[in-house]
Amino acid sequence: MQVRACSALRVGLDSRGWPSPTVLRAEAPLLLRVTDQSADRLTVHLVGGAAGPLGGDHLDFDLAVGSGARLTVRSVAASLAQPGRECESVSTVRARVAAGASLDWWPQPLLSIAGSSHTIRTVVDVDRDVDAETDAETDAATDAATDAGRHQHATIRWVDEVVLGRSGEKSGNLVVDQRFTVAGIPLVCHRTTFDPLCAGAGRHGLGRSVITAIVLGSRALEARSVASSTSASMSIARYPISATATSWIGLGDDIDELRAKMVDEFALGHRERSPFAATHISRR
Amino acid sequence: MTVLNPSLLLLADGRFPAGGHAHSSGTEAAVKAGHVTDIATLRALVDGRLATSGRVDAAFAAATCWRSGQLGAVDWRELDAEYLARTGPPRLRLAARTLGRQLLRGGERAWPSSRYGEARAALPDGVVQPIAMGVVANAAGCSPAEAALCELHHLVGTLTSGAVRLLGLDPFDVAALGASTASELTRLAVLAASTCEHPAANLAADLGLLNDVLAEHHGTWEVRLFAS
Repeated sequence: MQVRACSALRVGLDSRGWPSPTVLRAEAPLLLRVTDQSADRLTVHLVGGAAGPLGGDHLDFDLAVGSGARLTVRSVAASLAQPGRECESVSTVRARVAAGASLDWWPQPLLSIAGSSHTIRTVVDVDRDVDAETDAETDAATDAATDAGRHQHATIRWVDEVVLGRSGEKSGNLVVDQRFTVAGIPLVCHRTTFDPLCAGAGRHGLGRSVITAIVLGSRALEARSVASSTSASMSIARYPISATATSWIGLGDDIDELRAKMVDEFALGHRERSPFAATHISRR
Repeated sequence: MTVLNPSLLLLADGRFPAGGHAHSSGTEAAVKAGHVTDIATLRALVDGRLATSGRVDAAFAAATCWRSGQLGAVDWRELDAEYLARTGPPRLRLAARTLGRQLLRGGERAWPSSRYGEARAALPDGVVQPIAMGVVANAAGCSPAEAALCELHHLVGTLTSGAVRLLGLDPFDVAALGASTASELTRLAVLAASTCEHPAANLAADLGLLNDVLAEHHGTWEVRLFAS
């Protein structure tokens, strides 16, 4: 049976000026759990409430981060794109990030399993101006954010990890669409097609693991590009795509080795180890 | 009887002074990294590039050619911003602008039009090659499909002639490889022409991840035969 699920999360500042969810709606199999909240940052984990996505599933996740709010999104486990009788599955993530907001998106990998046909659409819109709608949460909170002087730029780290097939198996068909706009101006617009019958030179090489990242905001990395192609099995590049945005592409065989190299040698920044064991999350 | 537009042949000729001879469009980096070693792996490179950057370049060439042939103003900045959003690596952007400038220079002398000046004025940082191809192709009396075909033809020619020089492959084998792409070039050119009236945001956005990584890698070499 095919699943159509729409989950939504809106984050603003509460009366204390803490980032907190103003809307949190989660439908299986895309469940959300608040796993940490502090004056500085809200952390939400994506929890797979069922196996999936399965062929035929349509999963939508709408995300909005209001001015002054800082949100971290993680997941508790890899997601598996699996075949189903209804052919294609599609998951869509739409994120709207207000000026002065911060979003750190780095879930566990998506594993494309042989026979599956899955499309991931990511649409990220970054506002240039202060977002009136989310600012209206409280005047005090807006003032606090303004005083902190952190409303000028949105700060985003968006990392996607893909593993093409289980060990020793082929991958499924996977299409990754990404579009980032800043104040309506396109920053990134890509479609990457992973087809087990068409890999290699001119596409994504022969490795099983892909990590792409975009960091956008005031902390722009040095304008110099760095790249390494230490072997035919691991190739990484980091380069600026605008005055305040940096892009990474990593291609390799082992996802953990690839991630470690991108973090250690290409300044991708760390993804903390989740302090929340799966058992802990299930109790909340 | 209809005869092919001779201006299309001139524009498609590798001897037209557009600067393409200095570029391998990624073949040199792919050879050095060990991804291309023979005719079979060169074929994979050509197929992969046609499906990714080739589709994008053909779509933008066709879209610019169509817009240049209309009466109104062309959305130069939007076309350019959408192309750059699809072309992240700074070295690919630089190569695209270098080749665009040279193509405009040659094209403007051969087929004058007011669109050259408009494009340069709207895009002071430079006109990327597929947009330049659209301008020149329109001025030369070519259709959007012909602009796309010319773009794809140059991609195949640049990749394959680069491989001949770098690997010493048999030029007859390589020419046969090029000829075998004919039906795919036709299909992609028709596809590009079918989207030429679309908003720039909706044009093809296919990405070859390895090509983008290798392009930045290639740019760091101290000694290289080709500029890209």
